[in-house]
Amino acid sequence: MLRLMKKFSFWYLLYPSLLLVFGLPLFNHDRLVGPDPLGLSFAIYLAPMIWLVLAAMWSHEQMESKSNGYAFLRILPIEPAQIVKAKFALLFIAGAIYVGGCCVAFALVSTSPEYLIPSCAYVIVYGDICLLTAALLYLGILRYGFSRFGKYVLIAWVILLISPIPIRIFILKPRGISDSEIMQFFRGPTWIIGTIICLAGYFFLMKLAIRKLSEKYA
Amino acid sequence: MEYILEINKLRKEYPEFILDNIDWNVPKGYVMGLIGPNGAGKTTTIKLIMNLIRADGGHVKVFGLDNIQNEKKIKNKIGYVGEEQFFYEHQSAIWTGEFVSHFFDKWDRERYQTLLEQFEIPPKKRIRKFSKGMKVKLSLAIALSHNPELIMLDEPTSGLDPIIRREVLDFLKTFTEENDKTVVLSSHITDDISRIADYITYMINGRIALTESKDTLLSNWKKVHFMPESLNKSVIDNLKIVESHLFGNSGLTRDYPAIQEALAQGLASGDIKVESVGLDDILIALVKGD
Repeated sequence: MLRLMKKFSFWYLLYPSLLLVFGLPLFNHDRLVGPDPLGLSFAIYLAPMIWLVLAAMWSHEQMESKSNGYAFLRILPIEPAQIVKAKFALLFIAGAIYVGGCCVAFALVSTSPEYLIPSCAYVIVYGDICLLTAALLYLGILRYGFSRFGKYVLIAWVILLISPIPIRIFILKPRGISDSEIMQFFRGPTWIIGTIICLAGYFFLMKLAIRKLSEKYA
Repeated sequence: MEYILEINKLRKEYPEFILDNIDWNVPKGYVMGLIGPNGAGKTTTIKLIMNLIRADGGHVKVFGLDNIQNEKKIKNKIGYVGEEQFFYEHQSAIWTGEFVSHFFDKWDRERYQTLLEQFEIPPKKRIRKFSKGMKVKLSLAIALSHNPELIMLDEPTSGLDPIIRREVLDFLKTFTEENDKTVVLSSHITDDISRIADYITYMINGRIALTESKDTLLSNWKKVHFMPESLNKSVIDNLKIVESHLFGNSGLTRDYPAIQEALAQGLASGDIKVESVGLDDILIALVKGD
């Protein structure tokens, strides 16, 4: 499985490296606007970039589809479960590294624990959603094939990437939900329970994907 | 006889095609040719053996093991060349060899290197720039570099020019003879099968029509040329594809030893002539039916 992960890891190294371009300026965050002036703003800015992990997964699947990678792998002594597990493990590791990195960055710039925990929780929850989305996409690719499924997903991905802005403008603001109210969610234990559920869901979807790949390629 | 491959009541249904209750055994240490017209079910059978598609019924045992439960173990000992060659085409032959080497227990780097040189495959060139023939040769190099006990070749020569086709077949013939390997070679090109096979299986419309050793097959199937009055009706009734020509009639028999005595007089007088047939004549006879 490690060999497969190594093979699959190219895109996961390429895309997250883009994060450096976006992420590094944020380390000057406190110099620019002072420590935690907007509470969750730092996390809100960084969290959506986890979709780059999903982009890595997507590009990888595109390449697999283009070169009939599954057909090639299936003639080798590799079980479908190994292929799926390697992909899911890589996604999880990439997501975990990003989330972990964000939490370290928050710890470096935040002066108040009041904002540190909700910020970390915010990014973790975003990571959970990203993992679940990636797992669902993967199932969709296995079910419908990359080219058929891909064109719809590209649009959905763009929407997800920019989602925080419309969510703020069209959902949160009209309902008068403030940042501090959102923060309450990330302060309580709810997000921990949510994370556990998401990870269980991710594991379940991995099992489904193994079954799907086994059925598709015997 | 020891069988390396045992297929029992294998079934696969597609909307327009059914592979129907295949029973088929491949003896160890021989080359089995699988002949059939396009769409006969050869590729489906091989894919089912390789567990690349799911069967709707029946069992496949390779090396005495169930092919689904022991997929990894079995694939470790099979060298497979498919009808189409799939690789990570943005990579090179060297990279591909290095990548696949981690999954085979008995990968032989030196043999792979030797085969690349022997097949004149450029090791560092991207595979997407390879010709069809080069891809087949690369596929063959991979299939033979992990010391497989069974080599499965599904129309490997299809789409190749005659020179490369001959080269690939000659190599396979020498390789299998020297290394005592079992080979299953599927093709609709009977000449290819004829060159290297010890046993022949004809597959027609999703069924096994005939399995026999090549020698027995070619000694049993003969073309009989006869004058109408020189053969009795019972013998003529047993001939297939009886045709009338300007100088007499001809037909195929599938059991020459059984009618040899009845033909003796005609053979002596010159009214009957017996001619050997090729594998394609037998295929045509089987396709056209009795």
